[in-house]
Amino acid sequence: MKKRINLFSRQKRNDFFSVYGQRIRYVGTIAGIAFFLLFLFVMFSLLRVKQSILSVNDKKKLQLTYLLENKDLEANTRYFKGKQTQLTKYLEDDANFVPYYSVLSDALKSSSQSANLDRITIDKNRETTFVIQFTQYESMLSFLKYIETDDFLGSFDELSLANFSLSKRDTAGTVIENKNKYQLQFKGKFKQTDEKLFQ
Amino acid sequence: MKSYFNKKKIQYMIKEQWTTVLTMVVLCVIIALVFFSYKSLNDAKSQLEVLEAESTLLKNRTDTLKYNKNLTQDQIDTYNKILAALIPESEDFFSIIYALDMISRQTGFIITDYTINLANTSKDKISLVVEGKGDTEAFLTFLKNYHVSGNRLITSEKIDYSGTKVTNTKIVLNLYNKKFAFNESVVPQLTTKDVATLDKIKEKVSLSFMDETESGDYETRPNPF
Repeated sequence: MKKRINLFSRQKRNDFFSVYGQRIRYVGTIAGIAFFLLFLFVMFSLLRVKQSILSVNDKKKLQLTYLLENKDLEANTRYFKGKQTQLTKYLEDDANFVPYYSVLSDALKSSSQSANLDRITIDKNRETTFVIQFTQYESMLSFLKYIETDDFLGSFDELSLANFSLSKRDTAGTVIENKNKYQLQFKGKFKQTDEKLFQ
Repeated sequence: MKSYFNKKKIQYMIKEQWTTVLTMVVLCVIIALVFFSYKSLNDAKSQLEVLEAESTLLKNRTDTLKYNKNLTQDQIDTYNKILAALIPESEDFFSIIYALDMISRQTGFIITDYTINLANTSKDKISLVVEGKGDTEAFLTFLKNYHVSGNRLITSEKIDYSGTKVTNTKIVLNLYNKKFAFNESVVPQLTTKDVATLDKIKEKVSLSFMDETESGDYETRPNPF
């Protein structure tokens, strides 16, 4: 049997580059060109962004200068608005009695001559109770008819007759014969009036 | 022990496969450049976003100021004086007494007594139970005018009005004080409604808007005798 010695065994180690070298160069060149184009695109975008930064910085400088020149006006405006917000908020705590009272007293005037608003309570949520007195039965009936009209009910979100009483005593408590005092007590909630305080 | 990358092999690589090696090195360099430039682009974009946000905020402030410039500095000063009197920064009891006295004189509803309603009094609000005398007309005038006529903001949460018995009436009034806190980020825009509100209030208050520095305009003598 013959013995052979392979004298090229060392050269075989570099076969990878010999076999794939051409392909590596080919793929590498294409990838290189692609990445270089990508690099150019990124650099171009970077340049544009840097230019935008410079322009925004210039704009910011101008705005800051303007604000510095008008810092007193700005401080006063802030104070004005802050205090006005407080004012508006606190005014919400008010019952705003007069416009609602006017609605009711006007309604009474137009419904009956003998109707008398004895007592009225209005709170900040526009909830109300009021007592109306009549000396004549007919007046009371005409008022009851009137309160069912849209004219009157249009001023309320809700309204109900809470109590009805008949008395023969006057305001001093003395009993007077043939003179009745009819009293209607209502409970309800006024509709929000357009007549807001200072608005 | 033999190294895989021995000297002969490196020499062979440089001599025989230098174009392949160069291609790989150049490719690596370009990839690194793309990576670093992309990172720089992202950083710059973030910086631009922050700057644009700041600039937008500043633009809002400047635009609002330009818009608010239709009000003169004097007008705003006057309105601020009114507002500072109506809602002082801290409670001033003398101004409460003065306010009640002034409303009483203006409306004809004579305030005879007042007590602090501790149950409804807080840090920012003083609640008073006010007792007064007057006819129906005087009480109604009082109810129309109590809000700002005394140069203090006054509210009443609930009003109980008796058309027949107003000779001695009790009413709960609230007076307010509150410190103004600066809000750094937003400049408020003044609307015509804001100005109209203050104009209406200005008609009802009776504050002196003269410049305090002008009041001492008289001749002074070095020797009083």
